[in-house]
Amino acid sequence: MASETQKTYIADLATVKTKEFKEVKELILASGIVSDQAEIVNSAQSIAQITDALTDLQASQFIDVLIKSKTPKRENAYSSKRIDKTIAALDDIKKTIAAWTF
Amino acid sequence: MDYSIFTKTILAKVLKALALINNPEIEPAVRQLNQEILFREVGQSVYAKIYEMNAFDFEIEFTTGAGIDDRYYGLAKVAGASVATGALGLDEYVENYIDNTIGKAQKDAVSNARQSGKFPTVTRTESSSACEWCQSKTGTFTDPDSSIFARHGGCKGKIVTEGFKSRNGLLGNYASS
Repeated sequence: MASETQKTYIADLATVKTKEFKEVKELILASGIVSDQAEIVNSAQSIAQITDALTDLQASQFIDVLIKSKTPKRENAYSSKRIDKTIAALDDIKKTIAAWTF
Repeated sequence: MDYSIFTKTILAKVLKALALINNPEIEPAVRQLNQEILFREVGQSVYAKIYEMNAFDFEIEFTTGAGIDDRYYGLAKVAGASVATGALGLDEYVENYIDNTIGKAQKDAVSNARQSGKFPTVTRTESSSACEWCQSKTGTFTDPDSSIFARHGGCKGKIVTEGFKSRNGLLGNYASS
C-alpha cells in the first residue's frame, strides 16, 4: 500500500505536471503501472481514489513517471475578463452576506 | 438562532468564484494564491457579519471578535490543485469552511459576552447520521468549551446561540447593513 508521503507527493506532482485530472488518468494508464486496476482509475473522481489503490512500488513508479513528464506551459496572469468576472462574483457574495438578517 | 442556515445562500456563489479562479491554463501557485484571497475575503465577511449579529443579540455591540483562523490556506491549496487532482468532495470542504467560520464567530461572541457579564446560551443538536464526535457535542450550554462550535464535514448540526434580545423578542430591531 502506498504511504501517505507518496500519496501527497503524487498529488503535488500531478498538480504541477498536468493541467487536468483526465491527464493524470491517461498518464498512469499509458505507463502500464496499473493494468490490473484500470477500472479503478477510469472511474476515479479524485487522485486519492487512485493512490489508495496503489502499492508502494506502483506509487514509486508513478512518481518516476510524473517526474519524467514534461511540465506544461502555463500563464502567470488571468485575462482581464476573468478578473472582472471573479471580482463581480466576490462582490455579489459580499452583498449577500451584508443582507443577512434575523 | 442557527446561523448556519446562511451558508446555502452563498455556497453556489463561492463555488462559482472558485471555478473562475481554477483556470487550468494558469500556474498552480497563482491559482492557489487567488484561492487564498477568495477564501480569506469570504471568511472575513462571514465572520464579521455573524459576530455582529451575535453581538447585537448579546448586547455587546461595542466588541469585536478575534477574526478568522488560517485554515483558508489549506482549503486554497486543495481547491487550487483540484483542477489536476479531481474535485470530489470539494463543495463539502467549502461548505464546512463557511460553517466553521460561522461557528468561530459564534464562539468568540459567546466568549466576549461572558467576559462582559452577559450569559448567552448555546444549544447544539445533531441528526442521527452525524458522526460520533459531533453527536457527543450536543446539549445546551451556558459556558461551552470551544469544541462545541466545531463541525466535521458532512455533519450538519444546528448550533443555536441565544442572548438577551433572542429571549425577549427584540431581534426585529436589528438593521442589516
